[in-house]
Amino acid sequence: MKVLYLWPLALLALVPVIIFMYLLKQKADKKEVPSLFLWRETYHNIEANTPWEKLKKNWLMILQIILFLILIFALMSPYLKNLGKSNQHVVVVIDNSGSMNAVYEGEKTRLDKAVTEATDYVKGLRNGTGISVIASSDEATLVVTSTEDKDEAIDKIKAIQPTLNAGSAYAGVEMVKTMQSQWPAVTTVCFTDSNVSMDDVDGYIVDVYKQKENVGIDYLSHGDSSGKLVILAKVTNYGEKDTARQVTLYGDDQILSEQSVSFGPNESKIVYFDKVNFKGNVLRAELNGSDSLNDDNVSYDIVSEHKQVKVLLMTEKNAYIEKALELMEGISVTKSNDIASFDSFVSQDFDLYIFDCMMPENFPQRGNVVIFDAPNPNLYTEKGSLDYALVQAKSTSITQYIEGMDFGAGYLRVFQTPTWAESFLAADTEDAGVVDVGFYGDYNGQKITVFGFDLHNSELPLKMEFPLLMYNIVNDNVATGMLTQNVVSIGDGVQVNAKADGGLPAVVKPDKTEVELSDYRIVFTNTDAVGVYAVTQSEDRFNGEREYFAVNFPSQESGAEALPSANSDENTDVKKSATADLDLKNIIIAAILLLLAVEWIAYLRK
Amino acid sequence: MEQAFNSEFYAKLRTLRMSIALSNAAGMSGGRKSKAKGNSVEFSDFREYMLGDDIRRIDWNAYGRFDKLFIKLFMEEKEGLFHVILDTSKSMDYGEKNKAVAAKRLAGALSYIVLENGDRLFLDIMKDGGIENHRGMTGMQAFRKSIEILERTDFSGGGDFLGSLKRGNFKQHGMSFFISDGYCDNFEEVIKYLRFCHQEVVFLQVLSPEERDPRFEGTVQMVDCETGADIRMSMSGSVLRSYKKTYEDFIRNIEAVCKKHSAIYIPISSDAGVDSLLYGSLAKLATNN
Repeated sequence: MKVLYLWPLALLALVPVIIFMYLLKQKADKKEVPSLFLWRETYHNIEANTPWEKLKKNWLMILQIILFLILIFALMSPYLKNLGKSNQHVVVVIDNSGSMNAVYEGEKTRLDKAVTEATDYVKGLRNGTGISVIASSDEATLVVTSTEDKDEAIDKIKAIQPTLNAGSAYAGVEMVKTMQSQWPAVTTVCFTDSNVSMDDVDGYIVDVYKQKENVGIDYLSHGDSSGKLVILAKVTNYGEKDTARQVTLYGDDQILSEQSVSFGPNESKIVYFDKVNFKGNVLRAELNGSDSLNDDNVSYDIVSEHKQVKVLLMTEKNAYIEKALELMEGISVTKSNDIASFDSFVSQDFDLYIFDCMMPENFPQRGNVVIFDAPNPNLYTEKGSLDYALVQAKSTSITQYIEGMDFGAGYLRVFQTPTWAESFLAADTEDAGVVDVGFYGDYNGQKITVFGFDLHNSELPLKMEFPLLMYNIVNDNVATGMLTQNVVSIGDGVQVNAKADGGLPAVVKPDKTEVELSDYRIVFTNTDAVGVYAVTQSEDRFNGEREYFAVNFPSQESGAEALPSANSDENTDVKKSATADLDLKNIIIAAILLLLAVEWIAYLRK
Repeated sequence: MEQAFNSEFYAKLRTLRMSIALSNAAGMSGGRKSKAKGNSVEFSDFREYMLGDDIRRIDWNAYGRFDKLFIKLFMEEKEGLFHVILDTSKSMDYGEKNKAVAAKRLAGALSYIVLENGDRLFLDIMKDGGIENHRGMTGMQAFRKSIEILERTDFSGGGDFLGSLKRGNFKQHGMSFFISDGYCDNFEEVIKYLRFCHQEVVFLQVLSPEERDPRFEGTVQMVDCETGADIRMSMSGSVLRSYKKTYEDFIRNIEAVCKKHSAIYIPISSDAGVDSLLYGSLAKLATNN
């Protein structure tokens, strides 16, 4: 056993003071008796019968001295070394991602609950424990490191601000993994509403999730149909009860349409607004009323007036691609099945070439290319093939909103994804594990997207997400203007490609604050608020041409797919409340003071 | 302090008629039968005439019948000698119902009984190791004087019973009423001394309820009212229990000593009323004759 402080030993000097005070306190009542004859006898009898009587007479004083000695001992903060876990260092990870803004109880959000729990936990820590605090959302922020000042740690915890970012405590735990070697006997306590594996980390999760009603708009998208807009919004009820909400569609802040939707528990619905006559820029869908998480009750989409994009579709009979392209605005599609005469098309300078199960002899040197099920040894290498596989969309920029989508496909080419490319479709095979069957990337200034299967041999065109995938791919390939993306999630970066012959671009955020960018081509990352951001390059920023992009609440933060309580990892302990090593010192001191008070009251009453 | 001799006391006293048994009266001629055969008119026995007997006492009728000379024996009547010994130490001045009042009433009542029976009364007031002897009093006229003595008696100072008694006048056989609380180390010596002085002893022990059942709490500095000595004790249940036991042992010891030395023991509680004192406590002294 060791003690943290020795200074309380100086208080031993007060023990004689207690005795002295006790002597003073023992002012006996003076009573006249006829004779001490019997009392003297009694006194002797007591002494003779119980040798401890003399001590017993002063048991209150002895009790006080014992209590005082215990108090001194408690103040010395004793702790047991090498017995069980002694937290010499604790790391408090607080998830401040978007989902933590959901209501936990009353007015308190999950983040508020996490902060309260963490504060209580830190208060209960033994003095001298090193405390580090990490805020974790899409990335981890080390708020304070290795402080022994509990007040400082508590202040820092209270200062953690909510974000709307996608993420969880995962980033924080990863940071702990990299840093824990520098701390001896570290315990990590993770306050979060989502599941995170604590493998290789000594600690546990404090679950601050609470099931509440929440309906959110996952995304808002639009297409062109005969000069009018077809707008769809995916709305999901994340709650456990049936509910009905109204979705209101705004165009540049004017109400365009309204629809009522009813949901079962955990049900998603696509809400269509057909033939909407709107010529403005900003579409906004909004749910009426409020629920436990209001940040996802609104979603934005931008109708951009890009220049007419020319697409050459080389296909035998693929109507799926053609139909998907027709949904997009500003695209003119030229279709051909004569690959032999491809060279004659090249001279027309198409923005995008789509080769469906065919490949020209001379690969186009300009314009971007999408290839379905065709070999091109000059560009990529095939590792083999699969007769049938379940293909799954990975999380990439062109699979935004459809990550995790899966579909069956036959006769697939398995690629060795080139170094310049990123895989966006993968198939899980029994023999070879996960293999890449689709990738995209930038090759010598050309954007090339490759599918390793024939659409006809797959379920992909039948999927609800197929038009969205095509939209994303075309958008990725034929970006025009300053912005390559018009809709992103909180925390995502937006590529701004300004013309070098103008002034430096600037971004006006939803709260009207203006951020001047430092370069003409830059990724703008300050997307920390939901709303519409305007990008302008003109000297006169308020009158010049503007482009818009919308930042939406990340839909994955609306739901609760991976709850802490669903954790099946044996190494990850999930608790409802953080328990610091029981700080016996405070309990002992409180008990002593209570006993002293009781003793004092008893004495006064006597 | 309550007045000892109030109207209630006198009213009750007038109804008090009590004869106290005294086996061997030794005083002057009086109203009490003596064991000695004497000159009173009360016949006692016959015996044969012996030389030197008073021929006036020969029963001539018996001579005629038995042809022998018989002497008629008559009881000799003498007055009894009664000592009322009153302990006037400070310890007797104690209790809400003061022990001194009860003691004075007892002394007064005994004086009345003694005088009323035609016996001789000696009031012995013990004080500070000495004794205030008063001449023997007889006749009801003396009752007033005895009351006066008692009334002016104050309770103060210490109590050395044996020392006091040794200064007393106990030359003749008689009865001593010893009124005290009995707080002394040599109580047996005291009784023995009185017995040695041919006294039939009646010990009337006057104690107050406060002594029997003290109600002390907390730490108490108890001061002996006679000596000024003190003792400090924390009153707990066990201490009070121990006191009770000591008290009971004390009473048992007094009783045993009295029994051993053929003394009559009468415990008196100072809170007893006049009725209880006269008809309850003193009734134990009454004889049927």
